[in-house]
Amino acid sequence: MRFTTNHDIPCLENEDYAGFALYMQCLAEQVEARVVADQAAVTTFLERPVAIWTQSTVLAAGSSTTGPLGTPTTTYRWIPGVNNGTLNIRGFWHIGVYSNALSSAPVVGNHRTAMLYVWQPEATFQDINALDTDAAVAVLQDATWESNTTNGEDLLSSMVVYNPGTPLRTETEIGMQFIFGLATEAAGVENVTFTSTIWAAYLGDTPNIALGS
Amino acid sequence: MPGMTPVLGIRYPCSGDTIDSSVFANFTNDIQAALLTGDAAVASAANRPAAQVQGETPTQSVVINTATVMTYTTEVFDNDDMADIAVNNDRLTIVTGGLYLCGAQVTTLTGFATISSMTVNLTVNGTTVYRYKTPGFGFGSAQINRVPLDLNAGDILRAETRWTGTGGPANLSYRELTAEMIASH
Repeated sequence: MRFTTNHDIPCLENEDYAGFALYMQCLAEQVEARVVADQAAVTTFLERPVAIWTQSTVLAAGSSTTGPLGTPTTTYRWIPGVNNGTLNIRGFWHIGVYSNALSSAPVVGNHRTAMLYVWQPEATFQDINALDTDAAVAVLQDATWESNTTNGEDLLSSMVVYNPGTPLRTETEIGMQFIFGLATEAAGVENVTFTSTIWAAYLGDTPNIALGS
Repeated sequence: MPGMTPVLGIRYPCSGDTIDSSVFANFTNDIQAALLTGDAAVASAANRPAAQVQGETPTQSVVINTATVMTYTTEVFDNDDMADIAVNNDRLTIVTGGLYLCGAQVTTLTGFATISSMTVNLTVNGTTVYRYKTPGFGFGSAQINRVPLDLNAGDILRAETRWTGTGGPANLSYRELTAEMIASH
């Protein structure tokens, strides 16, 4: 019996006539193994990691807040790593933030800003605490205008970011942090409740690209 | 007594069995069935549930400062029977549960109202889950561009709009509602 070069599919030769049964068993088992592997790959493709966080925070006039995202409220196969805000799989991610700012009083003359930062890892990255926060980049930013005591005002922004990994680590982390603030231009003292949703959904890896020959 | 692979049940002869054409036929058919199973899985992944409905003509009339569910006239694409405009022209009904990226947008004609703000809401089973409001510039336009929603079979996705300003009613010249699944439960 011989085997094909790429997938090792068995092939009978003249002297193998008595081995039909064994040949068919081997072929059946190999076909099953390939199909089951393909099914598993498809399942992995569909069952991608997703995390959605929700927060509610009250801010006084002229203040801002930052902080860890904490535990996601909705997760699909999320791999939290060291910190729940880390995107610890190489590839493309759809990230975004939605925040509704509801004023306690109809004071005008303020505006709200929300930003979603993505941190780049240091070359000698070891854990989340070693992230180079000086290199933090605000990848999303949105602002809105006056107060509203009925339905609030909304901030909404999203984009796709890429976690490049490293040549030695295919699962390198980049960090995500949500920052929002309330700037008051008038002498208002109203509190504003920010009800926010932040998300990260894994879209997929990039194909391997070989350079040179 | 023929053997059988454990997962997909591909039958094969064992030592001592008589091997005739029926054995080869069973073997070939079982392999084809296994490959078709794989084909179906790949097709399912490549054609995840997605639907978009839109409305343009006729326009939809909306009175001032009143949340109004938008309606649609055209099914742009739908591979999971989420849209049924002839029965309910204001919604997408989720058939397959999962994580969806959803969006909605609305634009008004000029000349019927002076619009100072325009809002579009996404609702699930009547509850607002995302809302976006933009200032108006004579006419109004607002959109929610692809936000995630954890949806279950039977959930009803709709979009509402509200405008403020003077005059009216405003005529919605373009409405759109979209849902596309990106991950299974």
